[in-house]
Amino acid sequence: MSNLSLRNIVKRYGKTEVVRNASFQIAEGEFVSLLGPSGCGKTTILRMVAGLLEPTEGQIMIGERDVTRLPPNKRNIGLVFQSYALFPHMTVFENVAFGLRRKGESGKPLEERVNAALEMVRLGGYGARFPRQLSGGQQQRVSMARAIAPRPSILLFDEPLSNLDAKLRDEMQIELKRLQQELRITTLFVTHDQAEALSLSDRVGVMHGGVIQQLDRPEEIYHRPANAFVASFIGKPNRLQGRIEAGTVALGAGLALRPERLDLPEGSEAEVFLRQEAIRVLRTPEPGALAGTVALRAFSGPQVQLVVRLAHGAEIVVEVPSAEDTASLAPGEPVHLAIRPRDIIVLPQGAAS
Amino acid sequence: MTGQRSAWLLIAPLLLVLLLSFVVPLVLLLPTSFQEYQPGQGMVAGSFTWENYLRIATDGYYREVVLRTLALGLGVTVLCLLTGYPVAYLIVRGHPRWRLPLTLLVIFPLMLNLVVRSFGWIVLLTNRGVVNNLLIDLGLIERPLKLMFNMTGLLIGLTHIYLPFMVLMLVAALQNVPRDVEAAAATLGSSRTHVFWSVTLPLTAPGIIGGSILVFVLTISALVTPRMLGGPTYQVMATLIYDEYMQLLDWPSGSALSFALAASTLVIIWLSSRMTRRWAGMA
Repeated sequence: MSNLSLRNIVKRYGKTEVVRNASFQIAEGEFVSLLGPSGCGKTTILRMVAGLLEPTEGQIMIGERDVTRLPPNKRNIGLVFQSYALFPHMTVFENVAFGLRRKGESGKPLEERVNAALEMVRLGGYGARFPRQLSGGQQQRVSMARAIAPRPSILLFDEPLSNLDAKLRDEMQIELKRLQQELRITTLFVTHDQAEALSLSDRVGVMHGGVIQQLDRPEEIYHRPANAFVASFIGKPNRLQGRIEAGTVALGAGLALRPERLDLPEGSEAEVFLRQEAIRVLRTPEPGALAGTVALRAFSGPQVQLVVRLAHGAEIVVEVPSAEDTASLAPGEPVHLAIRPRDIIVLPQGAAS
Repeated sequence: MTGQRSAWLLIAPLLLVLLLSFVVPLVLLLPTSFQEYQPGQGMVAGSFTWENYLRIATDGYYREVVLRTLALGLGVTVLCLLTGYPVAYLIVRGHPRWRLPLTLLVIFPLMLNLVVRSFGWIVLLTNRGVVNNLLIDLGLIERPLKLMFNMTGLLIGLTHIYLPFMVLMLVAALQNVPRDVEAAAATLGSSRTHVFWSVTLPLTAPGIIGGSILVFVLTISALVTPRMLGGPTYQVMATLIYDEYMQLLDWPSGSALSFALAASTLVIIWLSSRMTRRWAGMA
């Protein structure tokens, strides 16, 4: 186990920069996710750490070792693929034993370590099967066992849960969290699923256009996004235009929001991000609440989504637990939206999006 | 899922063609192979004998031809595999820019007529051919090497002709090897050579076996090239069968040889498919 650090990593294909000057550190035992839409460069970073791609510029260190130009087999890493990438011609046991054999392990100790790894992903007794005889979730667990068995210094995950169906994905997420708590291996996890990234990670790096927009604790990413891209990418935000006036954000038609923190100069144009789940719906007015009318209502089981048209014409989507009294509001009824000052995210207009 | 009825319907055209042009003539040939042959008179009507088959195993000349044919088949298959694998690997894993030119280069010999290609090899390989003249002029040898009318000539000519089949089969097999699986082996501490031997090669086993069967079967049944590069005296089974039928008019002998050839082919296909299953642990 050791820490991982990337220093000014650049990856170019011809003239296109896929990764632009990425620098970050993952402490020993820390779990860091790279989160972003497809094509944002997150997988490229992971493959460079694994040694499957060579960075155009920059340096990758595992512990004290500069591994930038080392081939993958000299890096002592474990990689779990989206496609599982199990060896189809080997049994589950041989799959897991592969890395250990490469390290010169054999006989009884090998057998014990393979079985321990399989036990850890709750696949004890499956050693004699072939990968094609297992379900997708089981195959992915074998692939995890294979990656952790040789005790790598860094564990890498490349969208490991994307090929699984929703229910299995939730189970595997818990499995992963448990595994990571037991092992405390330095981990880099790449995903486009924000729930996955936020719930698993110690820190999340949100990527866009080859640049890490913000790398911080999940709570910070969620509540205090660094820029408009992070604010609009995480959660289900409403986006409103406004102008800073007397310590408030004026939206027009006399509507204004008073945020907890306001770093923008008086009179400047601003964008306001309001998360659907952070807005309270009221039937009666309250000081500071925004007045509007329900335009649409959609029921989805645990939640009801209301589209509310504000007085100045903009529309806001609000999520209400379906057990709430306000969930029964019908289109045309007047409502008032209350937002806690700390949930009002104000960012300068026209920043990177 | 198609039902069994529609499955039968789908293969019916092929089945019909095979039945009429292959199975029926073969069955008609079977009684012939057990008939007696009297030189100068032809087949003896109503006779029955095992002699034609026994001769293949006991007669020294026949046995030599059979063993030579099998050795030739094996030799050409191994040569095609050894020279074809690197080419296939380059086509699949090399720079994409080279893929089309290389594939065309591999397929190109197939566009030439078999007779033309064999004549080409005669020009190159005869005693006063291009190769020997060049070697003598360079002072590397004093007397011309014997490159024709023997195993060497047949190996060269047939390898050239059947290499494309092997390469195309191997290309298909290599394309089916997921890059992630190789990458996984690399991250687990496997060097490039070890990745090849432990992952790539076993995963291309179906292609290796398939290509080998194809080349072997085509080689042992080849007629034109062995006749032209082997001459009238250096016989293989196919040329011998041809001579029995067309020159000696010994149809029973020719038929028996044909069945022996077909039987050995079937045995080899059966053995190799068993081998694939064991080797690759799948299928």
